[in-house]
Amino acid sequence: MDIVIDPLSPVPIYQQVRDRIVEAIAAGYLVRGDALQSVRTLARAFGINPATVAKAYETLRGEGLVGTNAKSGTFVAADRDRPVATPELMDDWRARLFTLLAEGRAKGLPPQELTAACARAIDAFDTDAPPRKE
Amino acid sequence: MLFALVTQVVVIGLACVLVPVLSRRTTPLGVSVPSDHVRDPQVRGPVFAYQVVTAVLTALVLLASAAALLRHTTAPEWPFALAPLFVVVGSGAAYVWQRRRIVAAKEAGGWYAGRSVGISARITRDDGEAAPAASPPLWPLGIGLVWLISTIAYGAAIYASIPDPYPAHTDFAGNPTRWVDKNPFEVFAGCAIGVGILILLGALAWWLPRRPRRGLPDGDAASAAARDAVHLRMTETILVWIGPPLGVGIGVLDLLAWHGRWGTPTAIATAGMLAAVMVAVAVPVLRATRPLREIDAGARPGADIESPDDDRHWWLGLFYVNREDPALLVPKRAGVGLTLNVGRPAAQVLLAAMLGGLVWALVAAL
Repeated sequence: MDIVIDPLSPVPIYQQVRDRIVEAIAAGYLVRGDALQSVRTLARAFGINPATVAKAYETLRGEGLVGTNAKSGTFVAADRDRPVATPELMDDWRARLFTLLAEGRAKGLPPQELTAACARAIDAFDTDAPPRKE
Repeated sequence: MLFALVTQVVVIGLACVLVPVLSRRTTPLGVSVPSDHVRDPQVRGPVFAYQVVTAVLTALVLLASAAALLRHTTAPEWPFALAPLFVVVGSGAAYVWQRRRIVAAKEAGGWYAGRSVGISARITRDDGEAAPAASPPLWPLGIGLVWLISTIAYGAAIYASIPDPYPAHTDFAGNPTRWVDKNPFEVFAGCAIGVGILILLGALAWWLPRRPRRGLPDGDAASAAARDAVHLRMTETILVWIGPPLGVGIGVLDLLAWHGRWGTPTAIATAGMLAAVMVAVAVPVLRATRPLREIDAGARPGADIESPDDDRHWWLGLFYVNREDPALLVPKRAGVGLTLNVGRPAAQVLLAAMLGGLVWALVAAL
């Protein structure tokens, strides 16, 4: 599958690469064991510094979402149907979610809108998902 | 020589005129524009002006060179060998001059303000949905290679009978102008270089479909992908079909030199090789123009996100300079084929070597 980044966005490119892979795992487009492009190949494809791709992969490794070994290269280590997150990772995620929701609330979004936005995002992961592999 | 001159100038001039047709529709004259501005008068006007100036320049260079050649049959030849260069440089100047109008219109109009832009790339290594990239058939290059290797073997067999001194350079009439003591380097250099060039062409043709694809949506990802596919097939065809005329031509020229057949036979062989190489390039290009026009006519501006405005990486819209990009070769912005990423040290070394070789060849020709 393909992912899209915006090289001119204020969001760091490594963050965009990381976010797109996370979204693809959440939507089921990437499943455990899927082989990801090498750092150099993906950097060449996007025309970006390999260190940027390496940083994205490193971030995902720290989150337990990808793994690397000498034989397989980088691969998806998580699956939305099989929990892999450690308590520490979940605490970190909850803290970020709290801050993100606080940001919306601080900017005046009513609680119902925050709840609806969360529900829409979760629905989208299943609505856009590809057919399950047998 | 007149035939060689006319062929070169006409083909090069035609190639320069066709640059806007062969280029990505959202980079007219090397300027990034959103897909819904491609047909603006502020874009089409400069493109048309560039094509007219290039066509007129080509005609003038052709007429002037032909008239001078016909009038001064004993004049030195090197000015006429530079005639195609005048077309390229003049066309380049027109390109740089006219693209400034598009840049100015884009900046004044804020064409990219508020646009969704992006680049796509495959994240998985084995998609399982698409067939692995296939190289084009390389057998035409094999024809040239077999001919060259056979020629080298033949030359080794008759080495003792090859003329000594040996002609190191001939003029456009095929007459030797510089002689050297016969040695294996001078005798076999031509064929050896030909073998190297054909191997390089084969390696490029094999590698091209396998390189990581940079998905530039250009406002309509399906049209952009179709255009990329046409470009790829055209480039592969050129790389592969240049092989036979180049290989056979170089081999024949060496055979003629080894048997002392200078003058008219050499001149005819040289002109024939140049004409055949030009045809090998021109035919795929001309065959691609119609499908490219049809794809552009069917494009739906705004159907998808736009490609990013990356003019900052393209000096004069012609030379790609991006130190962050690890790719050594990237698709050209003007026309067809690939160009060096001059931001990479390896590309700078290659460029210096090529320019040095060109200067050496020009000096040797004088």
